[in-house]
Amino acid sequence: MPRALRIAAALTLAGLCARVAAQGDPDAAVASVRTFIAAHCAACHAGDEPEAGLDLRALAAIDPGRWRDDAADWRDALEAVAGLRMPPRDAEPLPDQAARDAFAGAARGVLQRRRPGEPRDPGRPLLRRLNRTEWGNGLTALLGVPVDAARELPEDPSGYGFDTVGDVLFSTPMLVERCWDATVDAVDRFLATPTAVERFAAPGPEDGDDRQRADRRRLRGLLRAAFRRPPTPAEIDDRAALLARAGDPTAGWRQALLATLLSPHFLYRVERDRPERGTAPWPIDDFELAARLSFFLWSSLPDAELAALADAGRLRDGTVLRGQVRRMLADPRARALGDGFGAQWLGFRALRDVAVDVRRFGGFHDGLRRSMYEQAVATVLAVLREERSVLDLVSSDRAFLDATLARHYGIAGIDGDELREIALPDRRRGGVLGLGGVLTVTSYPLRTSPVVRGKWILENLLGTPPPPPPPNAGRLPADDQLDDGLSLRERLLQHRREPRCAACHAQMDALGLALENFDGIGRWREDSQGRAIDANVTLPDGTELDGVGGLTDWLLDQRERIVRNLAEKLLVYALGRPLDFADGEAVDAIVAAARHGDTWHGSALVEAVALSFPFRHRRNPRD
Amino acid sequence: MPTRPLSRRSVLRGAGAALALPWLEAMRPGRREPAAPVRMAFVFVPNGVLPQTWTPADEGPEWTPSPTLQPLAPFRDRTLVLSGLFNRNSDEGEGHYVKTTALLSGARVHKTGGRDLRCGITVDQLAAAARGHLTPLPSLELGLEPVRHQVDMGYSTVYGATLSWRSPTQPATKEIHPRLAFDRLFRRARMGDDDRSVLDLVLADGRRLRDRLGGADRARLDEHLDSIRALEQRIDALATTTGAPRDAVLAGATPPPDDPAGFEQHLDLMLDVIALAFRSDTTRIVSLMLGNAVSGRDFSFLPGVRGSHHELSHHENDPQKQKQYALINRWHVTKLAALCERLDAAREGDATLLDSSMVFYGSGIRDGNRHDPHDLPIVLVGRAGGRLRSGAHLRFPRDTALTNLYVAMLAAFGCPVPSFSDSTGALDVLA
Repeated sequence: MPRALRIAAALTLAGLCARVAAQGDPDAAVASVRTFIAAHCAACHAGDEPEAGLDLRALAAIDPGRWRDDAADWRDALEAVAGLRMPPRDAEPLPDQAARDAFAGAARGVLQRRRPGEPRDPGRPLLRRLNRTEWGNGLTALLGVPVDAARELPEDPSGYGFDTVGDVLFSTPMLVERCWDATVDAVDRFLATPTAVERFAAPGPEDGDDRQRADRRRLRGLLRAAFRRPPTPAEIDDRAALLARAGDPTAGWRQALLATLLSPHFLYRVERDRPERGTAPWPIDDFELAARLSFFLWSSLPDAELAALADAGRLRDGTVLRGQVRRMLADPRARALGDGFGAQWLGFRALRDVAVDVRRFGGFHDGLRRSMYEQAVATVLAVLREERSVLDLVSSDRAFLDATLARHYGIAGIDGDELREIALPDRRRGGVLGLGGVLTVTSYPLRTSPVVRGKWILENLLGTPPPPPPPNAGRLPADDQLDDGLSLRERLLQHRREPRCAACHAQMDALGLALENFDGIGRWREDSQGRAIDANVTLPDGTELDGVGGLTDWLLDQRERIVRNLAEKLLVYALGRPLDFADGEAVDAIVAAARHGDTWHGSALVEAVALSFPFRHRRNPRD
Repeated sequence: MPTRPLSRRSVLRGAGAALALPWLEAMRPGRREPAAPVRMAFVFVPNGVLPQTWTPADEGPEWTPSPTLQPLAPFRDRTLVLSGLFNRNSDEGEGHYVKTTALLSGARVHKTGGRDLRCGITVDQLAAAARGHLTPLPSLELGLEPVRHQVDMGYSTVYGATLSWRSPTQPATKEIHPRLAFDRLFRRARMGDDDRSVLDLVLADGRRLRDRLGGADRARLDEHLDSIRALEQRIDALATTTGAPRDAVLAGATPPPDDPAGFEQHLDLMLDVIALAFRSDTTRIVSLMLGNAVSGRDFSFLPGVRGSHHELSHHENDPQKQKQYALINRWHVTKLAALCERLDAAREGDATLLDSSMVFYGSGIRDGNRHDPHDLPIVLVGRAGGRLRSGAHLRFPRDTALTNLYVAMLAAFGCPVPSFSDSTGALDVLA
């Protein structure tokens, strides 16, 4: 096997180097980056006509405090080096893995470092629309009538893996029409109860002039909740005018409600800019913080307690904020973190419409599909909501099961439809790698895909997606039951002989093949087509893994990478924007805060995200 | 005053009687017959085709349908098979997403996981911007598969799930439920006079908010306010035509079921919606994605096929796989033919709806086994009211810009443009 295929094992080291470089001698880090570039890159990427228009020598020669100005170029360079795409394989001398990692670590350290006097950058999410989940939950919370958002609005796209990222939450005429229809529906259902509007504020006497006053109180209550802040007098006046003009109260309220629920102040996450602050960041106000918190943890509006704390100006207090995170995580609404964050992070949201060939996999049915989804949600939530080790996601001898899943997994003695946590004799079903949902969405309709599963581990657990395949790369057959006598493993080996594929596949395939005891819908198997499954694999650096157990142990060794990746994904989800080199500081702090002995607690990680600098701050746009 | 909830169903039942007038019904006897409006449909098929069963062996008007194009035989004299077209700006990037989303824009796609998506405006949306105001719906964007939630190869999956772009940076959301697509054709009953003041207030809120926002945030809010104005314009447009007998077309239509029974019915129902949209002149512009980029739909329901679309498209020159891939290709073309049949069954004066349409069908790559946007598989069915040449297999010089076709189509549609993306002129398809 060629050298230097040890991307995976080394990222811990890279992270370590990055931090050492960041905290240690700045000049040493800068010098090591420059030395690497001179030795390995400058032959092509320097001079008058640098390859791909990228002059790395010039990039590294400038004041390190300004490196971040060229963040995109740096990102490309670091990915290419860490992903073994650069230097090209025929270059001399080729850096070994340790040199690659040291380079990437040192460069990241420099890139995330602030210049003296430079304000900390909280980043800036784009003005974002509520996604359909948030919208449906918000509408339901306001009106108390159920809204089936998945039916009413089209599926939102995702950015960086999450549908909370504002950049992809577009508004189109089709969406606005659907939103209009659904809102009218919900408002009409709401107003069908004669005393419905009393929901919005304390009722008072309703005779004569008092009726108007009571209506204004209700409008204020409605707007306070819908806009997540105290309404302006003009906003109340406008809606009061609709009430006054209408023929009867129900008609008036219908218009006032529609004008509120279709207002951009409800549909968008509006946060204030402060031109007077110039380039300096500022702590967001209590109302904005309450909204960020409730959308992060509940995918919904702040409740009365959060609103009251914001009104009292107390939420920004760290102790109060921490207490609220704990309260909210314990609340049933925190399930949203499983459906929103977990299902997108681990990809099992795709279970809803994944294609399984039921002729091949007769055991698959919609009840199983639902149970698989619920199990995956419960598994993620248990870690994120409780003081449990994040590593339970990788290795555990407990699993959430109901009768359907237990039967599917071949575990005896579990009855009933209720999902509950069961202690098991071994670890093969504990953690996310034993989840039927994950194993199914990483398979094709007719067979498992070690490649997809390996890629899934690299991307979702370790946070290091492999680079795209070269053009015209071959594929494996769709069906693993062909007559050429080759096992899937042998076929993969054939594919890997191609040198340009080998670099990434050597690792992807090995990680995926270690899971071959799980079939295309996650059942345990000892053989396939009459041949015993061989799940012993060798990683590019020579490490041997014996099936699921070996893979699990290896992943435990990668714990730093796993927790850092989870922290980054949580931060993307919570902030609704991609991360930048500047966010490295916040990620470091989150991981450090969640540390508990030789592991990290899930709920502490969530708490640290909510308490992090970018979550609690904002800045003006730069241009 | 609504005393009880008004369901979408009941609205629909009553809606047909009050819709706008299709152009044909508007004619009074003795008046000179106006030319039928030209319609354009863009049908995208993912994962390329098997070249050897796609490209007809002979060229010119006497072309013989290839095995894959055989279902188009009934429309042979109204079908242009266009060989040699190249989507230059999609040549780089990765294998699928770029080539899918830029098929109708011909522009370079910005590689991003979500921030600053950019693809260029697509030909259908340019036409909608120019002439969409003539119909109750400027355009209709349809699909069959929901958007996925992963970043792949560094590209947001918005790209692989989007065929139509309203602006270089704003994808048009596609409708994947036939029932809801059908509902959009009928919209009006939910807008009362009172709703005008609601929209006014919402827009006023928006304008005040807009003044406080900076660059990118403001642009995003503008998109939203434009979408609200589009809704307002539709209320206006429908108000002026209320009571006209468009129901001649629409009232007879049966609403699709809420949940189609399987993929084939799902697709057939979408074809019904397109035909109905054109016949009723609710819109003249439609785009339809038969699948998202890299679609892994299981085609084992087809006799002779065992496997999913994307996997089989990587046939590796294995005859067994090629055969199955070609069966999938051909099945898709039967669906194109089914759309043409629906349009051809509707008469407009002396001609049929198909005669006044241009139905574009194609993929963003040629051979699914190689991700190559040279010599794209493209056909154009219909005659755009005589503005297009009669049926033929036309082979253009290597690397002729695909966008030249769009320049020609826009001219035929009545909104000529001097150029479109990397175009070098109008493709020689005009009569």
